[in-house]
Amino acid sequence: MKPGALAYFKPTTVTEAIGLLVDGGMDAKVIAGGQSLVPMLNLRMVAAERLVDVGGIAEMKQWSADDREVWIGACVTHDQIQIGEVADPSNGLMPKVASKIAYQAVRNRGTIGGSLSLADPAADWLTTTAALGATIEWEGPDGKKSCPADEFVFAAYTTQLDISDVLTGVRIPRLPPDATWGTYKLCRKAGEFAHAMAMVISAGARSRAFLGATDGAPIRLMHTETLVADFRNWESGHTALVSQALEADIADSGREFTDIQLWQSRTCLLRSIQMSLGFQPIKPEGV
Amino acid sequence: MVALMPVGNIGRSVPRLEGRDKVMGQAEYTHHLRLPGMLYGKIFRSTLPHALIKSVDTSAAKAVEGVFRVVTIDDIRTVIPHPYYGPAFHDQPVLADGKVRFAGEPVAVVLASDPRVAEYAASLITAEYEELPAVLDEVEAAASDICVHDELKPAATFPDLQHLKGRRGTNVALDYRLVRGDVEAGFAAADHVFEHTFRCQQAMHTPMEPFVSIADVRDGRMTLHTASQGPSFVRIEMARLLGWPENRVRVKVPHLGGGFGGKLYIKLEALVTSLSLLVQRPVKISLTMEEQFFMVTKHACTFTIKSGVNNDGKVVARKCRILWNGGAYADIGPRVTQKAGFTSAGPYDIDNVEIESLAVYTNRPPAGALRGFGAPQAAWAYECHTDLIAEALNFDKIEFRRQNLLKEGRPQASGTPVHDAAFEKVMDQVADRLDWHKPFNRGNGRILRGRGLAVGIKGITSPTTSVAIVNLYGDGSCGLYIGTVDMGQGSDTVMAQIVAEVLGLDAEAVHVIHPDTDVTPYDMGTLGSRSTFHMGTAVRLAAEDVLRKIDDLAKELGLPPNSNLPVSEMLRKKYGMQAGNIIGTGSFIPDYKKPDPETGQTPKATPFWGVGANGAEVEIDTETGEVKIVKLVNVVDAGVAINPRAVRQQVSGAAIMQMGFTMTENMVFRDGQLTNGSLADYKIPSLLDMPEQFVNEYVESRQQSGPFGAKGTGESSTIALSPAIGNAIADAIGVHLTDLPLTQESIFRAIQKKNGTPLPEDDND
Repeated sequence: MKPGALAYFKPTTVTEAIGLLVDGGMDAKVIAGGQSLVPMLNLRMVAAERLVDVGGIAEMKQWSADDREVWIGACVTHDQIQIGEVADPSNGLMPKVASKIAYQAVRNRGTIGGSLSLADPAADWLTTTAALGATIEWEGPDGKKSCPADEFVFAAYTTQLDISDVLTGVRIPRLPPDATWGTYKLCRKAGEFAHAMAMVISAGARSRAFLGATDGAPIRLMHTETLVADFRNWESGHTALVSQALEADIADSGREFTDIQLWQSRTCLLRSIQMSLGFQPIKPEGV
Repeated sequence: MVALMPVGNIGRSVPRLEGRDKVMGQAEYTHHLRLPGMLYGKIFRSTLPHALIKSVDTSAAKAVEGVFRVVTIDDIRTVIPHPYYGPAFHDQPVLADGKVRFAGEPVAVVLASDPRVAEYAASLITAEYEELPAVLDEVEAAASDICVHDELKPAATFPDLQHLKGRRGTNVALDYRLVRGDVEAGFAAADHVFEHTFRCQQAMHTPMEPFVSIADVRDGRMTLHTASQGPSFVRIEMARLLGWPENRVRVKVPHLGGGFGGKLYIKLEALVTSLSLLVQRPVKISLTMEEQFFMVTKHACTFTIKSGVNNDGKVVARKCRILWNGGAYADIGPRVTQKAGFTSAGPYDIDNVEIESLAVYTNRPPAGALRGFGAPQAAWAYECHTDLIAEALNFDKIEFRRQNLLKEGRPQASGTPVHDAAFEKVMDQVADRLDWHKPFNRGNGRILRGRGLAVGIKGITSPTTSVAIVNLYGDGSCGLYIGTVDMGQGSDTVMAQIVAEVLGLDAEAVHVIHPDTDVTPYDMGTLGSRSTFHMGTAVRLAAEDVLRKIDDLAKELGLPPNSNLPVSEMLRKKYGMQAGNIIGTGSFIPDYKKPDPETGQTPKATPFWGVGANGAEVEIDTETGEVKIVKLVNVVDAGVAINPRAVRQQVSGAAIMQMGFTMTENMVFRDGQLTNGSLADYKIPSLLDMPEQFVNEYVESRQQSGPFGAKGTGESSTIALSPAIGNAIADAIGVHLTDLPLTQESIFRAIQKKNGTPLPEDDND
């Protein structure tokens, strides 16, 4: 199928884009890489009378870096991050994550800002930006706004973005050079959305741990973080400790997990922790 | 008989004749066709699996600007008084008639010259229903009081279904039985008896070209342009529905973008014909990818298999009971039930066999033919069962099979002797490619490795007819007129090779005329691996007829024997100018003898045997259930491969398709509603899913009765692929899964259960 008739605009500034969105109201949609929106328009699962293509806004395709942080424009593609065209604040985590998003054709066009705006719970960047302590920035009729990435998502496909807001970029603090990370996701088949995902970052005595691909926002695992902060090596006894901590974290989150989701999430988490400790899983995912 | 001089067309990988057109985007498909004055139809579908229709409100749709007409069954009846069709049972109404029998059934159609207008208007139609209890599972439906149809209405074309006429109060549309020897005595005398139950899921054909048909009825004649695998059948059935002679119905079929058994018999053709008849304008309906789930599907089934085995490894008795979930309309399901039924004891020589194979109506989308015609579902059971027996009795899996495989001349369960079926050869070649007899790394800890193989058998639909015409034009160039539909399998190329071989031409110089029932002669259909064998023989006979006529012409012209005068010169001599034709015809129907209705015994059940073996090497991540197919080996018996590359393509294509049915594809229903009816959720294999090592081969063999020793091979690598993978997974994790598809989750659950740490949901069974 093909989408219904729609008006297409390609503004060159954020202000212009917001103006077009305000005029379009509920019937206007922002399009960036189009890797989710175009199929949904084609299937008529989403109707839009007006598409505002932010791909023509030069500043949103750029990135900048200093020694504290890296700013990545919303229209930077997964592929640009994968191949290292963009400065990496994450000691290799972001290129690795980017390289495992769907397939190359999607990575060529799909953007980090588009992925965050849509907020599909299985999207890799939701969990990654949350784990990295990034700040999401957007602009709307009321001006510029921002929030920590782990507060950006309310629920599946629901974020702090208002109807006429444009996500402009992500500000990511640099990890200390000795910080380590681990991540693992499970997909039903090659190139598919994940149905379980975990990510762990350890920097000195501090750790951050998240579950992604849940029924909503990524889940921060505070008990697990406290536990993992003390790990210096992987020991077999840690499995039981991590399981307990994870159960406490899931109870705190108030979210529902089926038996299989719990097992899969636990496995992803264990592998992520092991990986962050320099313990390579026998087989990295997706390979 | 004309002496044949081989000219090098057989056994040559002639590139596809249509390849260039397809690559250039110039090949003709029904989807491209627009006729002057044509209307587009869009379908309003039922939202309930089983209900009486109280009313259909089309007023809002009619009020939409640009809508030409909205049609329900009442309108259809004004042009076709008995609007029911189907190849086995006349059970399917052109549009729902007072009752809906599955969620997704067509209830009304909007016609408009703009398909978007039609689609929008169709979304405004509403219906009121009186909901009836629905029956979805085949085991439940076989014994249920809830009946999908009040009465069975077999079509006159199938004499063996006539005993079912008028039967009421049942969902069982066909009860096929085969009896050989005394199975109970066999069990009683056997050293060991094993029984297992296996299940297959409902799946979809997923041709990349969705269903599309255009009818153009005017002045008492009709032309149908349709993406069909069986134009001759379409003409006969449309002529019957209309009460017209066949010569007023013309069916044209260009290239197909895949069919896989889905585009057989009547699909959209009855609907577009009725609509065009009603409005006297051309009408086109093309389905979306999502609507295909409601057209025709692959049978789900439940198969209980029981075997008596002696200590020496001989299988002495086998009992098979298969329930096929046929969905709401029979389509060709009863034939699947019967054909897959008669080989459901596997490629084994067993003295005592009893088979019961039942076609069951349910409130699901209809099921019909799909690449393998039920043989892959049957093999899933009998080949997993074979490994389970071998493991229990500690037999070598290959030698246990070898001991029981049917040998040349031995009677299959139906009593038909097996000829030219290279079961051992294909099995041994798979074993060789898997390095079966070399040490194998089984992995450890998280990653376990396993390997498995399986052998499959398939009978071929019989008796069926093919007719071919070979026409040499005035300049001696050659046209071939056949009803075989090239849907990507390469039949145009192979048929051209056969003609060319007989006439001493190059296959590349032959023009194949695509099915057009005004022009091309009868063919039963492009289905069930039959074309190379049946149409190939007809084509060969037609070409030989041409040779005889050339000889006759030479004599008539007083030419000396073996004068070698070109045909164009001979015709010029006869007619005094470049003129005339030499037309050869050939028709073929194989020997067949109807099975005994009580025992299913017959000396001629099939014209040849479909034979394939598959092997797999897998890696299982025991902490996640992830399975990686490291190596997949598919070996078939193709007889003599007329076009070796085309054979290998068929072997690999069929294997990839069956891999989807084995690993991911599954139509999931909740309360009778399909919950994953789009390719976003229903997952077919992609390039990223191809095994690291993917071996597709055929063995040296010869089908004595086939054209140049060939037999059909479009399905052979599908038959035993699922059990090969299932057996490999069992070899790795020590548990046999019984239900397809073999998902990460089901593998993970099985591992946890085996380790004594079942997941909560599995704890109570």
